[in-house]
Amino acid sequence: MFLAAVDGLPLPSKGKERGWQKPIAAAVRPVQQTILKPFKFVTKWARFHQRWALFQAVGVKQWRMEICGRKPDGEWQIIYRANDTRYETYKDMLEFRKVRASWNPTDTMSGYSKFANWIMNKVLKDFPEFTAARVRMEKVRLDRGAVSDTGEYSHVQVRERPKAGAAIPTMVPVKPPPPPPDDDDSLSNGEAIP
Amino acid sequence: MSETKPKPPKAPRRPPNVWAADVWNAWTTFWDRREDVAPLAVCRILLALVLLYDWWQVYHFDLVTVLYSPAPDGYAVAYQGWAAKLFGKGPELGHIVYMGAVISTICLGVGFMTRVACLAVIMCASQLAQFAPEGDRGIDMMIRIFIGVLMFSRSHGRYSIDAFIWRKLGRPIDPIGPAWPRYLLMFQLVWIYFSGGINKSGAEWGPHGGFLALANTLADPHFARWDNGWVELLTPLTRIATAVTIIFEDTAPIYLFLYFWAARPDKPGRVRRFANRYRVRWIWMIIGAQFHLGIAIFMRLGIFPFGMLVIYPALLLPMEVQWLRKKLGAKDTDEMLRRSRPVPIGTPGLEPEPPPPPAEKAAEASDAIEATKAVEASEQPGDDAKPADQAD
Repeated sequence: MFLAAVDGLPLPSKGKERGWQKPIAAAVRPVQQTILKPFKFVTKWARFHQRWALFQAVGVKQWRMEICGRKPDGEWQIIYRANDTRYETYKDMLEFRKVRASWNPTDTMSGYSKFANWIMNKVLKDFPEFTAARVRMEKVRLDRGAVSDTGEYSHVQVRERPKAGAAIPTMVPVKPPPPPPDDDDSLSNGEAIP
Repeated sequence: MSETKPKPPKAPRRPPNVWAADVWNAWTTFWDRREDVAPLAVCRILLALVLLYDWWQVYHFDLVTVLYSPAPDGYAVAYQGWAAKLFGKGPELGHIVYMGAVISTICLGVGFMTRVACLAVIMCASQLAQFAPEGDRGIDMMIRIFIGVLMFSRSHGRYSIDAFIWRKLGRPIDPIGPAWPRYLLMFQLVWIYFSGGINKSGAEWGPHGGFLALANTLADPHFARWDNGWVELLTPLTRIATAVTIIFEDTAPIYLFLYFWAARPDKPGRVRRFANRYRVRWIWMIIGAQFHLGIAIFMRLGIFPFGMLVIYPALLLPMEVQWLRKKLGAKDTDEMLRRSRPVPIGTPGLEPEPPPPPAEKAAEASDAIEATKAVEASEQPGDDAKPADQAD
């Protein structure tokens, strides 16, 4: 219980401290790391920590993912758009929490390119009429429960269909991310973690 | 002249070593409490059901390969860990570990080789988390911690194949087991809320951001279950809900006081009496439950709300557990209460004697000292003392 309390100390992430928090964090963090060091192997093996962040910050700037395929006439056709009942292909699968975790924008988004590669390959396989597939995030603005589209996009990934005879390019196996340094106290995946 | 009440004699001052011994005894007695393991067994079964549902979803959406195989088949990271050492790094490794997780979760649910099953679930789930680190969410960690606590408990003492087998073998598992795993689950749940509350850094959770956090969350296209039109209409309500949520989380440790006040209603204290009389503890639990039910209804967060709710049986007092069991037809509820340690207040026929007030205690202590002195004096062999066998 003591260790859990030490691990769960609500220290701000390194580099994200406010002015008055800096001296406190600078003093407490080394003590915290020293106490936890002998027990690090348990938390690394079982992959857990005691800092919980449930919807830590829910700002007004959010995103809406969109998956499209390009028709032979060059027009992009939306097949999935988050929370849009008109475009619901792959909805259940994409919104399954373990899959969404790969594409929902966060500070790190380490899994996004892997996910984008996979889903674009899947679109090209499932829709032979498409000449290309695209994944992107539209920036949206939340205002007292209302969502306004901005028309700006980010995280754009496009895959062209290979020419006849050529195979769809496969993904390159991704190396595992390096283990976090011992003094890394950042919260899991940087944002909401339910 | 009015008579002044005689002041009660002061209790003798206790030396520090006695005080420390008392604290130590209270600490060890607290952790050595015994009670019916039914709530732990229920938590075990419900946790397994929630986890099985999650594993089933992975299978149902055809995601075993996608999530747990590296490229080109899926988008897992390159294999590492004990499973890769044991089974090699072939493309089927993700499936092997996934199957291991499913089988061990079933064993956990039915209570077959329960403690081994707990360990296996933790090992397989953490290995899968290494294959798909982005998919390992907070609730996955929570479930691994909960199962880790259950591993050291006697959750298999009831509603399990283990209990059935041992009963058939003539060595039944005692359903009265240590209470500390339940306390740990309770502390963990409270800590999750509290930690979640104090780590909320966004202004939207407070008055500076207009308490708009829930309105924003419920309208977020990536998490909203329904079209967001209704959120705009009900924004005032979501502001209240946001305030209630943040107050609930930031004050979560109060639950521990509420619990122990409810467990010892015989002790004095106005706040204790108020909390017990108006059932503040139950209000706390209902707010927590509705918080999760709200998430389940309005958002797509998978097993998160249910994974938390299944730990709520650990918040119940032994008395309430036996009341519930009695309602469900159990015959041994009084016996279970009598065999608990300490015996809960209100157990029929076995009311523990309330401790005497301090004044009486002091009087008793001085009486005891005098009595001891008297006995010692009588035992002192005096000049005219006779041996016992020669006494008249």
